[in-house]
Amino acid sequence: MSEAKPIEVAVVGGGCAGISAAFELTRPEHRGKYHVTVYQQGWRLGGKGASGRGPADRIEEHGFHVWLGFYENAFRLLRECYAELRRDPRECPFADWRDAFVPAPFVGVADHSPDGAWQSWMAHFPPVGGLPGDPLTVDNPFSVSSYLVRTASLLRTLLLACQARQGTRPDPQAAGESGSTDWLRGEGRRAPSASEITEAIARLLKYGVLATIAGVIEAARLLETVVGALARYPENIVLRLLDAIRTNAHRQIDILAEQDEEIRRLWNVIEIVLAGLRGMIRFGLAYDPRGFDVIDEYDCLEWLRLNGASERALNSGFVRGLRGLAFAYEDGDFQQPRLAAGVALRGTLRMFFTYRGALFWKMRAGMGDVVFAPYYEVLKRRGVSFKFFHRLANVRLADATRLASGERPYVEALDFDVQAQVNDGREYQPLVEIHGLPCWPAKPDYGQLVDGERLEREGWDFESFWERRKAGAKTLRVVNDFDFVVLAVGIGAIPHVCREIVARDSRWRAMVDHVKSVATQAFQVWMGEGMEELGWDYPLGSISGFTPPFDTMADMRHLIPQESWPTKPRAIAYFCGVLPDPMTPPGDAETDYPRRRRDEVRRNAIHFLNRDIGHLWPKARRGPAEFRWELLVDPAEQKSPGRDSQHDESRFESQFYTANVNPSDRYTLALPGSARHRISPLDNTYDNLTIAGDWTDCGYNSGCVEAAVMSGRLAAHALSQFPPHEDIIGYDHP
Amino acid sequence: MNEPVTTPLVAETLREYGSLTRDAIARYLPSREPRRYLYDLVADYPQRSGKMMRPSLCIATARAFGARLDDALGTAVAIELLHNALLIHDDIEDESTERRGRPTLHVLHGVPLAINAGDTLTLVSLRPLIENVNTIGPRLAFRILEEAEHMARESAEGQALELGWRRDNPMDVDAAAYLRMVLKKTCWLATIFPSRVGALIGARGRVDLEPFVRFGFFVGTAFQIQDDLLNLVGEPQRYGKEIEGDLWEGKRTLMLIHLMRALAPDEQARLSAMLSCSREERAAEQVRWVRQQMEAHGSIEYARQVAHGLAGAALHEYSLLYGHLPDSRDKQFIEGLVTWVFERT
Amino acid sequence: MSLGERLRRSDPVRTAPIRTFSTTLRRPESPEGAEPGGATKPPGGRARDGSWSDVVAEGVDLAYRVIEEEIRLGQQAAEQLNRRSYAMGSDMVEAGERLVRYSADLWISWLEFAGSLARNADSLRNLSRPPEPEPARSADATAGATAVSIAITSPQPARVTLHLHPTAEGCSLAVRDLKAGDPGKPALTDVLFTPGAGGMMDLQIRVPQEQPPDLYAGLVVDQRTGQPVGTLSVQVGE
Repeated sequence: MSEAKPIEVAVVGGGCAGISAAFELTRPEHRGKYHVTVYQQGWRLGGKGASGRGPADRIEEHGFHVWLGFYENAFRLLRECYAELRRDPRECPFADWRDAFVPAPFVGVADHSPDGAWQSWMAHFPPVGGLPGDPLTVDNPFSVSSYLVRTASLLRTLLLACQARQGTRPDPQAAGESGSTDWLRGEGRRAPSASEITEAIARLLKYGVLATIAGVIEAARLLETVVGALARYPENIVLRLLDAIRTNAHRQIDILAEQDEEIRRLWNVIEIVLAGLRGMIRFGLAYDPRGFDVIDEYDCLEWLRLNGASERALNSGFVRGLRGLAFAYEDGDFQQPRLAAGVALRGTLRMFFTYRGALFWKMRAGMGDVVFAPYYEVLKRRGVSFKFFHRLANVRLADATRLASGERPYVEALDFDVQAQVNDGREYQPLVEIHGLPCWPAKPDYGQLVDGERLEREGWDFESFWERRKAGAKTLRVVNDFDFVVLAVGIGAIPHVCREIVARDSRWRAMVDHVKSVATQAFQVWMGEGMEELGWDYPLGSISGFTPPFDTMADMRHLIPQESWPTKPRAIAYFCGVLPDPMTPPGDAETDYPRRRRDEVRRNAIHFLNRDIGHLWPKARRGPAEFRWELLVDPAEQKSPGRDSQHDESRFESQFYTANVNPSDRYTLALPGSARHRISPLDNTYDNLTIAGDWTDCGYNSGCVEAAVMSGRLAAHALSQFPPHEDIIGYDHP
Repeated sequence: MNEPVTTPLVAETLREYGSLTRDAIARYLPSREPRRYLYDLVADYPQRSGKMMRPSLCIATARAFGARLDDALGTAVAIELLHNALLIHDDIEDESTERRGRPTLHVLHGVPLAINAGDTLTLVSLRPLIENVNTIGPRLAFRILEEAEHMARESAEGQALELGWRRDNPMDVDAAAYLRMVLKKTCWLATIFPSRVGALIGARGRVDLEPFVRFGFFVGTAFQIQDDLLNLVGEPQRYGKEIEGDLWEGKRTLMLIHLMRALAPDEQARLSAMLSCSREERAAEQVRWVRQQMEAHGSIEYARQVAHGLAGAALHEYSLLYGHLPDSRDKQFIEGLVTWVFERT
Repeated sequence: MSLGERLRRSDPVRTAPIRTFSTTLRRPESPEGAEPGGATKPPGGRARDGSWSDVVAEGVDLAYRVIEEEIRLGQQAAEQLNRRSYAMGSDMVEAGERLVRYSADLWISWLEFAGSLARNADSLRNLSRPPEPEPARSADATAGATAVSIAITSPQPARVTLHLHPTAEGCSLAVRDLKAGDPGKPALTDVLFTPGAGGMMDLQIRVPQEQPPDLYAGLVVDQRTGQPVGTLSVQVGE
């Protein structure tokens, strides 16, 4: 144990980024060098990932939280947390992390067929060996050429699927006629030379081999070899091959697609894959030191279009689903879909090609219960202090005129609103136990708070930006109260709490101008009939690309055992989507703004359930425009049965719905041209401050858990040089 | 990471004069229809952030010689618009994909619309020169027009040389030929013309313009060599154009010319073969080889050294040219520009 | 601890991810710009003995030679073009002529502009007081000359084309040297309009023996105002 006084680190914000930073800084290896205090508004950790337990202990989330199988950093840290926690499996249902996560291999998109009907197109993504967070076996496995090979391989797989549907059995002799690729199968498989490739292409074209799907597939195999050694071949040869494949595949498959919906969908995906390949080669992404950042000025659709994708493919469920996953709508406007092409490409490649275990992983309880409660417990054990009900009001910089020569600007003080005080100055105990699992409640424990009854009666909403009432204020000063600051609040909050920095620093101004966020809306329903009965066939499926505003739906039946319903519901479904901002932003004093938006979400949800959900759940409809409201399970009703129950849309009030409009709850977007305005946690302009969050330049510059965790780890590195860069998986990545 | 050595005066002055010019430019960009096919394109490059060195040099020279800011602002606007118009055409001719961190105009809109926008932008740039008749009088306005015409001719000749070299792929372009080409293509528009007309405005026509050719040539050439160096070794995040694009283009830079001389005959043949194929036919391996050879034979260092030497000559010419003028911030700015060319990225 | 002793973060080695593909071939944390693929570099770079100062001096000398040469050439050209035998406005004409010479599409606009400015008589009059006296105007020349009699002496075949605007009517015409597209070829200088008998203008063109074949062209101007009123071209040879 170090004898010297520990370095005081104030981590402001208890979401993924802040918690990851705290976790890194307090590793046993540091031997107590850093003492961390986490400042959190309200009563629960988690930020955008927070969840609570409501009536019947039902889980209430901000939205749909799923972890993707490529979240190496997020899983690695969480697994370490669980390992350190060492819960007793006899007492706690989630003692091992694998108890808390369930693979969700059925993922799909909703496609709008020409006759106006919606169809869900589900795919099963095969499990890949290993588990996310396992140590990597290859030193830095991410390279553009390996992605190119995988993409070309995927292309071939999709073409094979088309061929299979067509009914033609693949003929092993077919491509052999022209002898064009014999040397591929020969001994001593060296990479062919440029002239050999040119010859091979010429032969493919000449003998009309590409006039069959089998021939196109063979050409795709050739492509796989070529992109694996891209540096050898002049760009135009590779593109010629690619274009030959495209033209001929189009010719063959377009005809078949007219009659077969499944082939049409496959062809849409193939088009996107071809466009992506073309773009990766044409834009020289394999050689550019900036990697995929090169194309970040383009919107992803625009970029695909530039590379030959048709409008039809761009409107397919596949593309809409991917975009919906990223909430990629500027200002929440569905007419303005915008996602930076580089971010989209990086994300898609990582998502499909580097997942381990399953493509998606769902949590078996709320994210707060699965992730933040364990972190809270481990961090407390390590000596981290938590200050709940502390909301950051302002970051104060030192007076610029009084800096010594050569001294950098720095943070002099942090002003907090103390929203409530704990009785007897004790520490707030935030967790409750449900079925042996430590959980976060949906409301604060007023009993622990000074004047708690009054606060509850007056409805103080500690998580609302527009709640201005508070119990007091506190100012922390540098040297006395902290040495370093990790600013881990959401990007939406930055203009409010960093007014000084934004005013003085043009880079921060550019950042808040360009790195934008979007509000989201979500609702959850509990139903008395199972999904299969309602007409939904895919267990644990998630679907995206559906009708706005709730374009993402997830089947969450696995949560039923965790909740405490006297009569268990048979189905749980989560819905979420973007929530457009109003034309004029609300003023700081508009205290009823959150309530108004929440009412709007309720109306949206009711409308959605009446009109749209029938496409996915055909038997949930009473008529063409009416939902079977009696399906919904009302916790109040279960508590006191026999009371009058409504069977119309007012029944919806008993469900959970939310408008996530608080600035720090807004979801971070990756708009074209915005990435270069991000600032890195490593940036040392203010030499006692580092930033953390999915809005920073953390390598994977997109709004998600993985980016936030990476940024938190980078913030820890900024202060302590640990973890080393190569340990942050995917940071160095094209 | 390299921290730039701060010359705050140069950066501040560029920001100040640049912002004044940019505001003034806005008045001249038409905002009528057709927008989507023309006027939005015309406005695109001027609105992307550039260093604004050319108009700033014009304003600073004018003021150093005693003019008021308003006298020189119109000409500064014309210079910047003309520069941007030429950039549009340059980008098409070079087949560049990126300009100031964003896609080039012809990549965004196709070559025909971009060419048209470039021509229109040239026309637009004439207006402030015509309006000069009202601000500085017809005689000076006319002399500035003459200067502009001269500069236009030199620029066209320089561009013709460079394009001709690219087409015919001569292996015998020597340093002298390179310097002449840079003088015409780059220096006249970037440094010589802005300072000559600035001096004309400031001295109301009573000034010998010949020494500005020398000064402008040395500064402009150092600027161009530095630009070519950045294309190879610049920080990609801040450079804004395609790294090593010049190698892919086979552009005759001082580094390439040095390399041509330094290679052994069989390697020269290899280089010649590579340069003689078109861009699509070049493979990344060949480009990498050229780059490695440049490092191995010291071509990059050579160019860097020469650029510094030219900067020294520029400072000498500066003292001959501006030495007699009263001290001013603008004088210091012009002097600072000479070293600033090495610090920008 | 006082404010002066407050803790400061140490500067990071880098603040951005390494996105280049060659990351896979070398250990991370090595400085950027290292050669991918392990190409051998000569040790210690390439600083030759004798250092760089010779190289630099050579380079600067060369640059001085180039620029002096260019300046000299420019002065010569300026002198050649600098014959002021007309009243003010002639400079505009010269500018126009030169523009015709090398007009790429980009610069055709200048000619249009030059034309419009030339037509703006007010501004032209203010340009400068003409140092030369105005050429005397014979009474004959005011008598609505619309006819031109052309006499050409040339050892080689030559074809003359003369375009005159309607505004040329009644003007006393003048033309300067006719120049070829190729600046290397000498201009046709022996070209002269004189007032002839009966209100006609006489045009005399003499083509020297060694004149290289080409198309030689020039503007025809109104002698009094200097405004262009037409063009004259002579095709020498085939």
